Amino acid sequence: MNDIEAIQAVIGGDKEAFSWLVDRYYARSLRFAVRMLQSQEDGEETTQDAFVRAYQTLDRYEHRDRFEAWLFKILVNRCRTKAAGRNRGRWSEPLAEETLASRNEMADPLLKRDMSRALAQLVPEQREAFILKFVEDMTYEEMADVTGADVSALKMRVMRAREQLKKLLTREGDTE
Amino acid sequence: MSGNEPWFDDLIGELKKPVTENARAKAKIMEKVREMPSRRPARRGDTLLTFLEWLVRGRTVTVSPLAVTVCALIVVAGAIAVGRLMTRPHEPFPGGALSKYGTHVVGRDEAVRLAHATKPGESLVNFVLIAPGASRVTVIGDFNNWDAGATPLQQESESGLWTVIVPLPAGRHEYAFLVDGEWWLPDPSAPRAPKDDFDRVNSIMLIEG
Repeated sequence: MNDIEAIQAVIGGDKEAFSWLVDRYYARSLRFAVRMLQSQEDGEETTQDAFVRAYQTLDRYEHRDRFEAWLFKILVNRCRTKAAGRNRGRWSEPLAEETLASRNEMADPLLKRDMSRALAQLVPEQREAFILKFVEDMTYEEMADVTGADVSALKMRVMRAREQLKKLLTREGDTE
Repeated sequence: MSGNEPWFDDLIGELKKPVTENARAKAKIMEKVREMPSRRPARRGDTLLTFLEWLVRGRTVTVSPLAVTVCALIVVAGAIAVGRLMTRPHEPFPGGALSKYGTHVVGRDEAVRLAHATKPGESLVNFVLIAPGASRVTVIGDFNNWDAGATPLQQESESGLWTVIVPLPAGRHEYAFLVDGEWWLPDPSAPRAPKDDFDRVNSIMLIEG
């Protein structure tokens, strides 16, 4: 079975065929949502919402786009809505002057905790672009389709995210 | 990933690791799907519905601000009345009619409830949206901490008129409508605020004290 066959089966009334799409895309969708929302619980809930919404609107799906890109478009919107409703402004204000790399164990490999905290300090639109680009390996054209943002704006977001993460995760920017 | 700096490779390597899957959470998707009607392809008779749905769904965060405005205006032009109507604090509303400009009428029980729910210094604000084809509409704003489930609008008619009356304190408020839990829509009849952190446009409402 492939995506199109599964979708046609679902539209034809075979609900169980949708589980094939869930099995195929759940892990990647969940990873994006959890990385984006920085919460396992919120990520699971949002991923579930996105799949259910995809099912509800499947009869409007046209094969012009890949199903995965369409699903991600829904997922990105759901993550934005979740984040906005959950705690507005929480991520919009970077923590004051905190440089994670100011820890003493400079020679140690980056800690998972540090990475998570660094990612959380990015403004949401930069975190979103960074994850889509480097974790989901999307092209800028795919990212534009999924996010609705211009390619040039996305390139800027990715560049700024990378600069900020470098500053947070390395010694660069330390004043000492 | 070669050619990148170590911190970058470390970070991406970590972020690409699969997230722990909760089998229960995953199974819930198909449980919900089984509870829903079967999907079917659109038929000719669905054309009007599809068009009406497009009017609502066209206003997404993925289109340009100009397109959002244009779509919103189309809805206004094709609708009966869109906007928000305010009353003065504790202004009596004879017969339960809350609007000074329209004929929005609430039942006696609802009028009594609203009168009791309104504190000194608050105004009753009637949020109205025409959203044919929508299955759920809520208003989200700083007054409800952007909680998508806090302030649902009630569907008043088959034509897709959704309303809710909310007591709000004086001051400047930012808000938007959320259609079907997904489509973020500024009030077509209100001034716009600058884009927020999520690249979304909200509306502004000023309530005099």
